[in-house]
Amino acid sequence: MTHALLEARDLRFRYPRQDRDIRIPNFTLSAGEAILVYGRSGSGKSTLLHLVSGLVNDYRGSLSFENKELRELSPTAMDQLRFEAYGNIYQSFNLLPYLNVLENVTLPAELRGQDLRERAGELIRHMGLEGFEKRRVSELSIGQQQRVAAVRALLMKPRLLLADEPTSSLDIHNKKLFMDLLFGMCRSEGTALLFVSHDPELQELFDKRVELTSSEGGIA
Amino acid sequence: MRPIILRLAWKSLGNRRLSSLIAMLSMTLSTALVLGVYRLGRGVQSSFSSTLSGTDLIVGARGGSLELLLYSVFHLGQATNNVRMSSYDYFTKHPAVEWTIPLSMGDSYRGHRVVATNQGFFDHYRFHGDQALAFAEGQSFGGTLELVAGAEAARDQRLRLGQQIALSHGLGDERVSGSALIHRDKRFVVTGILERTGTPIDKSLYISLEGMEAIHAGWSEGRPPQISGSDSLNMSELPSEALAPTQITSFLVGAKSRVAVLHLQREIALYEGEALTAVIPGLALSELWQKLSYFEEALGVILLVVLALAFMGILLSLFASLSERRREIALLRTVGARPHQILLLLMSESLLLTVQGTFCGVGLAALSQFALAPWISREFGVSLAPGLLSGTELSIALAVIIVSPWIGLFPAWRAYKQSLAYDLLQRQ
Repeated sequence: MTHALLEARDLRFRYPRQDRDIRIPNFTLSAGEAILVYGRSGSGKSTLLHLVSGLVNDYRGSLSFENKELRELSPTAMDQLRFEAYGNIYQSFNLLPYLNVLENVTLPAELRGQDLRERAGELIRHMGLEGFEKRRVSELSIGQQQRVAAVRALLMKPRLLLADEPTSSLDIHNKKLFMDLLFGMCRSEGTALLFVSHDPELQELFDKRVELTSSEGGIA
Repeated sequence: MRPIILRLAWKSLGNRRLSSLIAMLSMTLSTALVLGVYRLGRGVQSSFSSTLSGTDLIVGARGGSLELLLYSVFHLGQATNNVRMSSYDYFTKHPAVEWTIPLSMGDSYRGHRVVATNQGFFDHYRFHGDQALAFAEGQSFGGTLELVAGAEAARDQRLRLGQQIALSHGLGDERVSGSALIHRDKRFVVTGILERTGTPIDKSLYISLEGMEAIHAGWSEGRPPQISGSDSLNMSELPSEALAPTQITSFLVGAKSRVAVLHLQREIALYEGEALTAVIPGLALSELWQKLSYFEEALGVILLVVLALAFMGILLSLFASLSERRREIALLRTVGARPHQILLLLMSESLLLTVQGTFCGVGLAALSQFALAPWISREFGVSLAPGLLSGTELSIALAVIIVSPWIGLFPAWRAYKQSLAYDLLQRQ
């Protein structure tokens, strides 16, 4: 039996100064698993990412990472958890435009004083970006940029990868390529994936799916 | 500081080329201005101190040393008493004295002082080190009613060789005070115009002691003689003894030996013929400069204001970039940059801008000096110290560089506070 990496139980969140709340269906996410959180705009997909990231902690119910209740972690401990256990890919502005591919990828390691250029090279190869290492990211296509963002997110061997609609600006071909490569990488690295998207086409790729509605959601 | 922070700072500045360039340019101009103003200030002080050089003593009637310096060298103010010609002759023949230059003042031409002296003035007067007076046009006065003009006086009054002018009695500008006391009966002819010296010499006109006596012949108690029938007085009617000066305002002394100067000074102070004061020009000039300390203070304030404006430019540039960099900083935080690293990043940017600006400023100051020094020297008589940076200038540049990271601290603190909000994730 695999231990749950991330677990949500009776999780609810009420938006401050708004007469609206979201109810997150119960779910667990284990190492190497991939879960899709989907729903319409405003259904609370990004709010769930904020809750998991510890940016918002006045929720009700339970949300734990490696059996630690996130609400109970101090800001410093949450900071530490974010940097050591999480990787992030966003919809846009994932990369620093003035750095080249290799510099963007190795940035998390360099900020910690580590030299992970060899690992970065391997990941870049796996993501089909060999030969682009010295190119400025602003010269790359959106699809290539998202792949660079995925490599950077996985560089520090995170246990959980949070992806916030990373395919929303990609065409069909690039979307498929990106998802194939991302899944391949996460599986080979044993990284759990919490993937937020409003794209129903992606559902079949995931082990689990969580649908959010504005007032409550259900698990598929 | 880890190199990654400096590298990020460098590349981030490069990514915002225009605003970085403007901030750096502001620092470049400010540094150049600060160094230029400082060097100019030192140059002015140096030129001031060397307004008169090679002269060992200035001698005048008993009184304050500063007043003596002011009216003898700067042609400012008036002597309360004169020096008898016999005293001047006594010290001219003194065995310790190499040369003397008599100075007699009291008249003017359109606001420019008229100084009566002798050929010794053109032979022995030195300024700015060992520079001698030189003629731009013409030659020294030979006759009684001949005149040499300083460069600025000649330019201001458009004097030319051969021109005849009438001097005014007293120091007022006759165009303001009226024409009652103009020596119209004895007009002087311009025989020479001096090269520019950048000293008070330029502003005055020079005549012989005999010329000074000639225009005052017949005067009684400061009143002109009553001349009937003619506006002109015939020089040939004046007896030669009438042109022999009986007193002068002050005189400059060149000693045969520097060692003898203090002895000579004491001897002059104890001279029994009349009460005299002798001052050493260098000391008196330094004393005067000390009294003009407000100049230094004003210079210091100007330099501080210029530097403050430069730092304000950098501060504004960093603050202005903050809003457009919120996501960049948030991204750095999400990939693992710690708050202190964000702090260091912005401080490094401030440091890099300042270091580049300061270096370029030093270069610009040196280039400007190279280009402008001859003109400044020619027009204002201010010699700028050669060389890239003096010890004090280097200290100023280093102080600017040391202060700069702390200027970046304010926007850095703001960025740090903002980055805690992780607005990258909170954008939706």
